[in-house]
Amino acid sequence: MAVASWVRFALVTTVCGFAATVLLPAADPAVRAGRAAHVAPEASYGRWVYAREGCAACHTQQVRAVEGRFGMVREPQDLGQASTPAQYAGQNPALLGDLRLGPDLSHVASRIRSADELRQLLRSGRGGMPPHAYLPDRDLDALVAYLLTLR
Amino acid sequence: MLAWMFTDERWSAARRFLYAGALWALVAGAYDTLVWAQRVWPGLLADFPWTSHGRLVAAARDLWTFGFLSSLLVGAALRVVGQGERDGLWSEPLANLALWLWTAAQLLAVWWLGAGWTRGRPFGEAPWPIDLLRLASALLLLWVVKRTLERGAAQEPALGSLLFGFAALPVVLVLGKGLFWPFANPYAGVVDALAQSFLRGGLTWLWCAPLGAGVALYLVAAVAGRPPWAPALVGAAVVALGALAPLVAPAAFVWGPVPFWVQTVGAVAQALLLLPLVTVLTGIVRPLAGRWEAVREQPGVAFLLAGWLAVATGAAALALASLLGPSRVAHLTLWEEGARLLVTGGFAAVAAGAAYTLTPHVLGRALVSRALAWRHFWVLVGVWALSVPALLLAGLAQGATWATGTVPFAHGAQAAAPFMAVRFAGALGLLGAHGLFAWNLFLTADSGEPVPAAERELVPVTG
Repeated sequence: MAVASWVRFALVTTVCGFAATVLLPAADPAVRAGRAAHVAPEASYGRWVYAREGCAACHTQQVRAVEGRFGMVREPQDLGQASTPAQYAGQNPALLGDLRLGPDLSHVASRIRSADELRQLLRSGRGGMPPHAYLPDRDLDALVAYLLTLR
Repeated sequence: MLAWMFTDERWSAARRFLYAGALWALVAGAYDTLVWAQRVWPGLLADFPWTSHGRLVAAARDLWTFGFLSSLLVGAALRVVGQGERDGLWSEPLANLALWLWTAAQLLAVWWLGAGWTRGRPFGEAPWPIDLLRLASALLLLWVVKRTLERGAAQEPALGSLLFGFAALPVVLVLGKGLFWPFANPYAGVVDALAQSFLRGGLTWLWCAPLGAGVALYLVAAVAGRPPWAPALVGAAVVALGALAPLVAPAAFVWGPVPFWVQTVGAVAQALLLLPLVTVLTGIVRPLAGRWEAVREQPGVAFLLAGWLAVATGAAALALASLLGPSRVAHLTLWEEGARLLVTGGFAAVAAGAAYTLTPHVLGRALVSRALAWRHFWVLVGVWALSVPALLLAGLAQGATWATGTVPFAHGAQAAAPFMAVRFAGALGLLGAHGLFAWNLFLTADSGEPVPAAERELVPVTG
């Protein structure tokens, strides 16, 4: 087989692979079961600040099936329930993350309920988290509003 | 000015891509060092938005993939495809146009990602004008490479691998970043997460891997003066790479919130990916059998070999982390960072090795200092030897802590801290290694011994 032919064949397999593993899951009942949740404008902007500032580089938002109801952040079992495909419906961009240098934030609002504590934590940093004092008040408030929606 | 920018001087585009790659290597190394410094000292430079951790991470990823690795690999690939009966590239001015578009995109990426203009998609952060510039550049390169290869009977799997890499990049960008609708992200929810993972895997396994395989297979056979090993098998390996790489995307979500059947496909594909990678590695090693003096004489060949060995080892560590059992303690931890350091570091070694080997053939001058190149090599090996085990151990410590369900998260983070300090030292080492590389390359361009015209050709691989 000539080189150009097998290169074409390889490209076709690549596109088919993309369709099978990225597009086809959209038709899975577990994914289709989700409905995009309504988010208040401030929290929606806060979600954008979260994405812009690269929070997903250190924080995941996916509680795995093996740790749901079992995992611990501060107290036993406070990691929260395992995440499901449906709960991400309409999220753009998706912020699941793939490295957990800081705790998972899927249910952060059930661990930290105080906006002031969150604001202080973001401003000053804690443990391995750097301070974000450079954020303007509007962005910081929006980010706090977004994090408080993560129950 | 325009005449200089779009010159038709032979190998000018390849040479400029190599220079650009050497410069971006320094910038990428500096960003990487800052990222790891902040993981050790979280308050470092945290008062400025441009140097905040999240933005630095985004810029470092972009610089490492598109600036450093891509520029060097493209430079080497352009030199290889224009070799022999193909009598240079089909169009040097168009290849130079691709270089300027690529470089403009990279400069914009550093600026805009630092300023906080981002798509917000992990690993696909660059905004759409940068994507479009890169797509235009990729299509130009594909056109030039395809027309160049049509000039001769290109049957070597190495050249096929290069052509596949150049053809796959536009596909990866269009599908992974959704450039069929460039002004907004067309994906959402779990599908977006899978598309992000496809983009990340695609840039590694459908872009860097075919280019790295092509230049390594071609150059090692040329240096050894032997025909390529098992062309049909290596060709099949490249096809397998194209088939398996997109299936790897869901491996990032084992036990996670994607349907279980997709996770299974991802984990199996991640394991099967080892087959084409090991086949390529064998295709690189076999022509050297009995001619190991070539490795001693040419540090570039040692880089090519070590680089592919690192890539295969890193892929094996990723495959291990995708299995249901081990992924409980390895997934989402620094274990995967260690594995990826081997993969991306491996491609960095391949790119540097190709540049060292091609110096007389692209710059027309002999490498000024082999000793410096060997120092670069041993620093790189030293960084791997220290940083990778440190990250793997840190990952296991994190994962084991989480698995108990009785230890606060902060304790696991504290346990990982000393290992991250080792990785910071590794980042400093990498930055130094990139400095040695750039210094050697530019010194050669400036004052290297000119090579006779006859020796500037690469011995064509036949058989």
